[in-house]
Amino acid sequence: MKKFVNDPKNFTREYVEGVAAAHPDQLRLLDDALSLVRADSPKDGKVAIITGGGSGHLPTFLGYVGYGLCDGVAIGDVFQSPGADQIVAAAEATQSGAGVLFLFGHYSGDVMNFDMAAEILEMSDIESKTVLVTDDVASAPRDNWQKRRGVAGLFFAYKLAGAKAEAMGSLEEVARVAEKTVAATRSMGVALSPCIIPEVGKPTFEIGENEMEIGMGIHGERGIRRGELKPADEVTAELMDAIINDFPLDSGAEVAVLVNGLGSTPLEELYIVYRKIDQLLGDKGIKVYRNYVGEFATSMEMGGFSITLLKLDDELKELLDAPAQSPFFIQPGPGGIAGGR
Amino acid sequence: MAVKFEQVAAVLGKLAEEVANKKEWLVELDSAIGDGDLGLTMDRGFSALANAASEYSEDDIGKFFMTGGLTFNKVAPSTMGTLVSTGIMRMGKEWKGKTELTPEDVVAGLKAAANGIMERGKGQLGDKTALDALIPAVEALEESLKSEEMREALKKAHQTAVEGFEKTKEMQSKLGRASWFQEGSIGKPDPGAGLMTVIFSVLAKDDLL
Repeated sequence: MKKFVNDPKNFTREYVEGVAAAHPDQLRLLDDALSLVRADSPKDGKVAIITGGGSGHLPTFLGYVGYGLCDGVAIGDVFQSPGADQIVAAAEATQSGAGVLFLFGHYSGDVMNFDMAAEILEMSDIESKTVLVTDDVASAPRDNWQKRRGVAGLFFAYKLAGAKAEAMGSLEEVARVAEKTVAATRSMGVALSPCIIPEVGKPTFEIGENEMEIGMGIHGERGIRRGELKPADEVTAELMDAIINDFPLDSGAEVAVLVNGLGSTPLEELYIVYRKIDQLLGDKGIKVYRNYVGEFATSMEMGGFSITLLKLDDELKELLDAPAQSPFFIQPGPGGIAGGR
Repeated sequence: MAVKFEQVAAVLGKLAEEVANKKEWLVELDSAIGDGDLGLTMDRGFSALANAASEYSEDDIGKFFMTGGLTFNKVAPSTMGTLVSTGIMRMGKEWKGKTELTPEDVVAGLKAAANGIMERGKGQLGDKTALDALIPAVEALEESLKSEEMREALKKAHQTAVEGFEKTKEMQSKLGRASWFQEGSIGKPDPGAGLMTVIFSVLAKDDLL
C-alpha cells in the first residue's frame, strides 16, 4: 500500500480534523462526536438536513454541508456507518425546532443507525423524517427501485432539498422535494480499478488490465457485467441506454447531467464522456438544463466514473438554480457571482 | 417477586463479566461467518452499560435503559451493537417510570426488545440471526411463568436459547454480512444467537434474580 497516511487507524479522524482546520469559517467539528455542522447553525426556523455515511467518498458526504445544502454530517470510518450518537449530536447542534430531515444513501448499516437516531430524537420531542437516496440503476430492477443503493445522485438530493430548506420550507415540504428528487434521479457507474481501504491495506477487488465492470457500486459491490474495456463512447452509450430506458425519457424532456469521477479518473476522460452524453441526448431531443462534471462521490482511488441524470420540471429547475456554497462545492445564484451569495 | 434497580445493576455487572469471559468464543463464532469483531464490540458495550448502571443514582429502571441504549451504541456502533442498543432502548420504553419489575414486566421488556431488534434489523425467525435464540427463549419464559417460579422459568428460557442457537447451525444466513457466505454459512452457528445464550445464562444464575 502506497498512501500518505500516519497510523491507518487514525485516518478518519485526521482527515476530518484537516477539513475542520481548513474551513473554520464554514464548518464546526463537534467536541464529543465525529460530526461536522455548519458554522452558522442552528438557523432559526430552518429545517436541519442531516446526512452521513462512511468515509472514502469525498466530497460525499461532508463536502455537502453548507449554505443551500446540508446542515450537518455524521462521519463513519472508511465504508462504515457512523454511530447513532454522532447523528443525534449533529441533529441537536443544528435543529431549531423546525424539524430534522435525515437524507442519506440506502445502505443497511446507515439505515439502522439513522433509524435509531430518529428514535432517540423522538424522546426529546425533536421531529425527524427520513428520505433514502436510491439512484443506482444497476443495484436492483426498476420495479424494486426503492431497494437500490445510493450513489452520486445524493448530490442532487442535497442540492434541491437544501435549496428548499434554505428557502425556509417546512419539514413536510423539504422531505417532499427530497423524495421527488430521488424519484427523478438515475445513476450508473463503471469501474476500471479497485481502491485500497487504509486499515485493510490491500485492493478491495481484482480486475484484469483490460477489463471493466459495468454497474459496480461505490464500495466495490458487484455490478451487472464484467467485460473487455471498450472505447469511451461505447461505454458511455451503454450506461446512458440503461439510465434512459429506466426512466424512460422522451424527446422534449429536460435533465441535469452529472458526470462523476470515482477517484483516479482524470477530468480529461470525464469530459470525453460528457461529450458523448451531450451528443446522445441531443440526438434524442432531450435538453441539458445544467451539467456538472467532476468528482462528487468517489471511492477512494477507484478508477472509473458514473453518470447521473435528473429529470427536471419547473419546481426542480428553480431549486437547482439556487445558490449553494460549501468548502467543496460552490454554485453562484442565477445572477452569477455578484447576484449569488 | 419484584426486581428493583439494585438487582438490575447486579445482573448487568455479571453480564459484563460473562461477556468478557466469552469474548474469545464470540470472536471465533463471528470470524467464521462475519468480520470477527462481535466479541470485542459486545465486550465494550456491556462493560459500558454495567459502568453506567453502577453510577446510576436514581431508581427509575425505564429511564436507565432508555439512556443505556445510547451508552451502548456509542462504544459499539457495529450492526449487532446497534441492534442490541435498540433492544435496550425498547426495554426502557416498556419500563418507563417503573421502579420495580414484576415477572410479567420482565417478559414484556424482553418481548419489546425482540420486536425492536426484528424491526430495526428487518429480520424474521429462521433468517439465522440472534432472533432465532431470543424469540423462542422469551416465549419459553412466558409459557413457563404460567406454572412455575421466575427462577425455573429463566432456566427453561436459557435452555431454549441454547437449543435455538444450536439450530442456527443448519440455517442459511439471509441477512447482514454473513448472508454473503450463502450456503457457506450452513454448519456454522450464528454469533448473535451465541450472544443471546450468554445473556440468558446470566439471567438464569441462581443468585441474581
